[in-house]
Amino acid sequence: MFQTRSEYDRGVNTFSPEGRLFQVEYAIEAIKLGSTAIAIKTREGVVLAVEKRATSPLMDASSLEKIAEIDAHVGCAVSGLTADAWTMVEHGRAECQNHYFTYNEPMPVLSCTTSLCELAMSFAGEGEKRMSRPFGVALLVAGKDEDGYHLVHTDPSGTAVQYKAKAIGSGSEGAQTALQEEYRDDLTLKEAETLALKTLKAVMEEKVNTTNVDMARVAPAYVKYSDAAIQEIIDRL
Amino acid sequence: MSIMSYNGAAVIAMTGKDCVAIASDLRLGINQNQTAAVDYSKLHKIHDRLYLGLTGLIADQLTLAQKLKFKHDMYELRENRVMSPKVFGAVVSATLYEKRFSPYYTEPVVAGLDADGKPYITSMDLIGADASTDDFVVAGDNVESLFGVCESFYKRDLDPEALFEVISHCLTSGVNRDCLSGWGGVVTVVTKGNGTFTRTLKSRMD
Amino acid sequence: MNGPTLDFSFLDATARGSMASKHVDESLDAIDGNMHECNFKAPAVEDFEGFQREVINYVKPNHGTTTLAFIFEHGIVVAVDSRASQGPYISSQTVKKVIEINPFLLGTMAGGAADCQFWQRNLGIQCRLHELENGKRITVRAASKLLANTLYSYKGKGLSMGTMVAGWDLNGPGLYYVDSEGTRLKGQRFSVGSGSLFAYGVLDQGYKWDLTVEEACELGRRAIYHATFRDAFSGGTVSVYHVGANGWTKVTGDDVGELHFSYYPATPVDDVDAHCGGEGKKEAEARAATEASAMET
Repeated sequence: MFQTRSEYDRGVNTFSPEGRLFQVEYAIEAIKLGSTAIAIKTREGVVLAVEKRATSPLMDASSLEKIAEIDAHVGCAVSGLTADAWTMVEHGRAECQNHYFTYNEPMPVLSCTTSLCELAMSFAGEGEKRMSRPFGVALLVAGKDEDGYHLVHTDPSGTAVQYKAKAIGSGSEGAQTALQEEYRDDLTLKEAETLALKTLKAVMEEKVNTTNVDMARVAPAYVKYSDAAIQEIIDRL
Repeated sequence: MSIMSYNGAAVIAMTGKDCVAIASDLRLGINQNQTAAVDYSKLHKIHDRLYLGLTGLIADQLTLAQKLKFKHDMYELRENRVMSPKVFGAVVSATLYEKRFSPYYTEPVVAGLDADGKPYITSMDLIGADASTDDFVVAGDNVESLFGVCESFYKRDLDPEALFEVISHCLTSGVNRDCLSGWGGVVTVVTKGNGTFTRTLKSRMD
Repeated sequence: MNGPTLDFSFLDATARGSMASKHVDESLDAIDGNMHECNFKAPAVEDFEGFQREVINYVKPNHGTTTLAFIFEHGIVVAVDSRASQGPYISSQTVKKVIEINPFLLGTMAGGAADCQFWQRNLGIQCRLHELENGKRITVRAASKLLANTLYSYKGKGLSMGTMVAGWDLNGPGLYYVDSEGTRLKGQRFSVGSGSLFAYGVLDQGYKWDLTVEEACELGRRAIYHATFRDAFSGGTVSVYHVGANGWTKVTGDDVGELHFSYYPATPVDDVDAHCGGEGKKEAEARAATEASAMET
């Protein structure tokens, strides 16, 4: 894919003669190595589901956090370099709180994602706060505000796109096709839960169980699913 | 802090048709914020048809009231007649100005009917600058509020009952924006033909 | 004019663009754990203290207040009045002096209204971020310490706050007194404000560990009521909150104008004509009698 490797793939601030920013493209590639994350928006809420890949049976799977609460009305699923994800999540949390402090209202979901994208772009800036490289992480941001439910995908280039359903990570290609086939505008939240887990199951190597998947919803408040709740959805499959 | 608001007070006097009314709050404060008593009227009866209201420092109020009562009673004994409100006002003014350079810290209000039943009211500053009017006068630590409500509610030529209503509303509303006065009130109405009546007012106690 | 020039540039920062860049900086500070340092600019004057004395006339703190809170067997009761005064003038009778930091934490307000509102909202942010980052609620101990540290960093800059932080955490009920001098005290019973001594009188007299929730709320209400009665700078309404294991609830809000007469029903006065200059009718009659008998002899 990248046959034209040259000095242009080193600097994050330099376009190649073909008009590409290689470091950003490589960062986007890094996400494809990450675990699969799926989000589905319905009229009743947004469902987030992620795969937790424990690379060793001695690893404690509960310490792999790939879903996070940003504020009571915003949650996100991540794929890629999770350490970068936490920097972004903490930024999002602080932004939501600052917005609430200044305006005494919950931060609109799109403002929140915009500020996350501004942070993602900060490698291009100057000064002390500048990142040395693009973030190697993509987020699926789910939220509810006065305009209704939103599902936004952000990537290392700082692009934010709204989706009805989106898959990211290693199994994203297959999962996205499956979502495209199965998605309907009149999905219920319950159907979305099943679809998310079914799609995840199809692209996962392991058998789905409560330790290797995590789920959350924003409907209208962020709630993380308990093991029992996930088991119930597994039983529905 | 001004010594004039050490104790806190609100006094209003109003004229009506052949009647005059004078009202006072009932709070006595010390050190400004401590409410020491809530049955302390600032009205002093000089004779049946003449009342004096005193605001400002309580100690000076009492001294001045006794001094003025003494002066009035001596006048009554010598002249064998009571003072008209106008005369009494002049006495108050002169008494205050005697102490021009170490004044009594009190601002008086005088209200009464003269021998013909004509109402007279006046108020003064603490060194006796007389400011007689024919509608209403106010004194206390919160005259801005009192003036405001009086300007709004006062009407000319009210009968005694209506005058009582108006002055009562003015007092209770006027002290609503003042920390240092209120805690109930007392109103005295002097009429030409039907004597005098005094009523206490129930109001907010904070 | 060679007086100090004030920096009004913050007024221009209305557009999203300028705000956004400011927010990025501040929130990165937050990640470094410096959220409480809001970095207000000090005025560019040589004599800061003199300047403070001058501007304090424009920023009038509302000193009149009575607030109280106490821990008992079934949680915490927080009770406050609602008067704001500027000098002897009552600027409002409907001030909200209990600040609801989050569903488990309450703050009370005495001193500067703006200072209390701003810094307790700021505390709310810090508590929420703590909650998101650690996945559990902040303790009252930690929350009060965050506030105390914030206030200490502004010591001598003219902030005016006397506040109680009350809440329920995994250790049960917690109550702290925090003020703008940097004091932070843990305790069972506190009262703050110009009417606090009056409230302490009632509170200490009626306090028992094993009060029921109703009795405790009534004690708080009565203590504040008595303070509004005696303290000229307290009044308006008495608000009572209860903090239990499931968070706080607002119990009552009573207008003192009516509350007084429910505690002390008004009795009609028979004759007040002799009631002059603080002298009651009986005293006047007694004096008249002694004077009359003195004349006879």
